[in-house]
Amino acid sequence: MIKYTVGVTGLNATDNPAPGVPVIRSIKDSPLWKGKIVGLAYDALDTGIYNNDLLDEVYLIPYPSEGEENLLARLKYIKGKTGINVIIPTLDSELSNFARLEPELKKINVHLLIPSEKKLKLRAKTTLYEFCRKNGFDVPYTTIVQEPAEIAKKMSDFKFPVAIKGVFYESYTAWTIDEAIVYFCKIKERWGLPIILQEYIKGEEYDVVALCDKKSKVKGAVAMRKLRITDKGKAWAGITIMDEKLLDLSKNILEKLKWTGPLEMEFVKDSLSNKYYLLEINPRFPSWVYLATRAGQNLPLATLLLALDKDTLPFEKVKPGLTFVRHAIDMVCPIEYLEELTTKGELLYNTNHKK
Amino acid sequence: MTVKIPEELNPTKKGFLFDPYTGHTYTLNATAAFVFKKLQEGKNISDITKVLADEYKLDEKKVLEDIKDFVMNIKDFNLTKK
Repeated sequence: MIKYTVGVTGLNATDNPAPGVPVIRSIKDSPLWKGKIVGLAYDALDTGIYNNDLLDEVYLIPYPSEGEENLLARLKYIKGKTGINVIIPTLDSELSNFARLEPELKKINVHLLIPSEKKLKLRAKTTLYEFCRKNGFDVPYTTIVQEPAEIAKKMSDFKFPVAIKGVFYESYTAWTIDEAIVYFCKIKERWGLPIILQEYIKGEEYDVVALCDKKSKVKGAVAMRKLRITDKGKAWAGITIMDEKLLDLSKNILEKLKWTGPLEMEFVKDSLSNKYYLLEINPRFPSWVYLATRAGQNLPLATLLLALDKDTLPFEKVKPGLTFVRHAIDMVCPIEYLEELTTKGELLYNTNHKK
Repeated sequence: MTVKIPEELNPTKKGFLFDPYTGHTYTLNATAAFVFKKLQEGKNISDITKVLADEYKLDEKKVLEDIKDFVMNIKDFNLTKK
């Protein structure tokens, strides 16, 4: 029996879905799970909050821009109310705050399994190119721009099309300078600067989700091919595969990074050379992580156990050919849910709202 | 001539084929599925040609050409062992 209280962030499952909901689904998928799930949301309208089959309690927490001190104060309050043992942060933008707070959280018996700030910087979109070049991994040529006027200058190093990416999220493919500038402004408005320009490599996209323990040992890894991709570059359907070449490459990357915690590696397989190019490393679970769980590796549950220095359950061999297809549904809920979240910043499904 | 096909590539009875290495799927008609299975069993192309030509009363030369085309296709799709 696994009986802990776990807090999970990233509950906003919109067209750029945060991974919190599939992380919770994974944990609850285990027949051994008897614990409590606490949703940690940034906004009263984060969509996952309203799925009361998944959550026992929900608490609003301050946005990452409000700083780590406010976050710590709120987490201490939540610890007092819920007895939370572990937090699984699932958003790129919040990880630096959590990494800085890790020692403080440990003092109040709240545990994390996340990389250090140094490791976060090593795989950042702005530094990934250097990391790959230094360690001999194939990577598309990448550069950063701070203002639209730089795009035309930098394009002397590129051929169109070019990928335009935000420092945290979103990716578009531009075929002209004008189009690149439009995407630059769109991403800047949402995610700030810098903006990343990346060489476009024609080929199919593959992702690997993996988990490393506190000693940077790889505990599990699942690969999938993207079957359908949205205009924001998000996988909307995918299928598990068993490509040892891709998994070995992923493990080599993880060894060089000396990683701790979950992460996602995004690759493109060059249609001419069949070589895998590393496009991005995301320092958290991907929103398709439930596919990995159903394919035999419950990495979110293992994260919870490893954060507490507990032994993990042995993983089954990954089943290739398992497919996920994402679709949106409407959650209908009473106004009281919204009332409690907006007035008190918390929603207790078990106590105040019987399921 | 023989062609090596990984044993993990198993067309279903309906001819649906999933490549677990790349995640690609294919549909084979009954004849293609038959040839695919025979190649996988290690039969050589001339033997498969003879069986098909005899069974369907076809010109052996034409059947051989078609099988060679098919083999080229599956090589293009990386469905054969390197």
